[in-house]
Amino acid sequence: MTLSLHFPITLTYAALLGLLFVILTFNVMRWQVRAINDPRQVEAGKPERISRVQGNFTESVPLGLILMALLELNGVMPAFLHGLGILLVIARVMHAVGMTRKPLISLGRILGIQATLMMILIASVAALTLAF
Amino acid sequence: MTTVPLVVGIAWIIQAILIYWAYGLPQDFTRDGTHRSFALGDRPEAIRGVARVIRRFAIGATILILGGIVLVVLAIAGVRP
Repeated sequence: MTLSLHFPITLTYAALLGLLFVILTFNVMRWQVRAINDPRQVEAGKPERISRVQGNFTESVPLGLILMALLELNGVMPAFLHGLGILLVIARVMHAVGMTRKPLISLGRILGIQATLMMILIASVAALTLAF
Repeated sequence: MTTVPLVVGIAWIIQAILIYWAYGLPQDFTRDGTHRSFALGDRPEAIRGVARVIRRFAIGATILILGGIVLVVLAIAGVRP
């Protein structure tokens, strides 16, 4: 017996976020090379901040995608899943842009992390209601 | 019984409570955005800027909690899906 599972909606957003992850990783390399080549031209703490953008991405996105896949597996309506996926993609783009541009706190960084947490919270509450 | 407004509303209320827990309640801040526990006047402007942003967290959480309550009420009233 073969078990065939398809997650077309989660797959779409996983692909988009995968592309974003690759861009963020290359950005880390770019700033590290810049810091080595000409440290005077690089703002203090910038390479570390760029590295944290990618780090924060890897800490939150996998959980969001796992929750999305589990909701899709349990037959949650597509519009709800698309809403979660769009929210997660926009949140990660905003966080990356906000944290890259400004040190300390920026609007993009705040909205990005809060939107990511909102997506995970909504998906978690939905998963709990399906579980019980 | 379980609907999208109910799920989203509960999630928003939880998030708002966590924001209050992490950053403080709106009344914990003075008008210029500084937390009441800060000593006024001797803070660098960069820190004051951060404090003003943190104050917005508390305001945002209030909007979130009100939106969450509206959604939960709508769900209980029978709004679908």
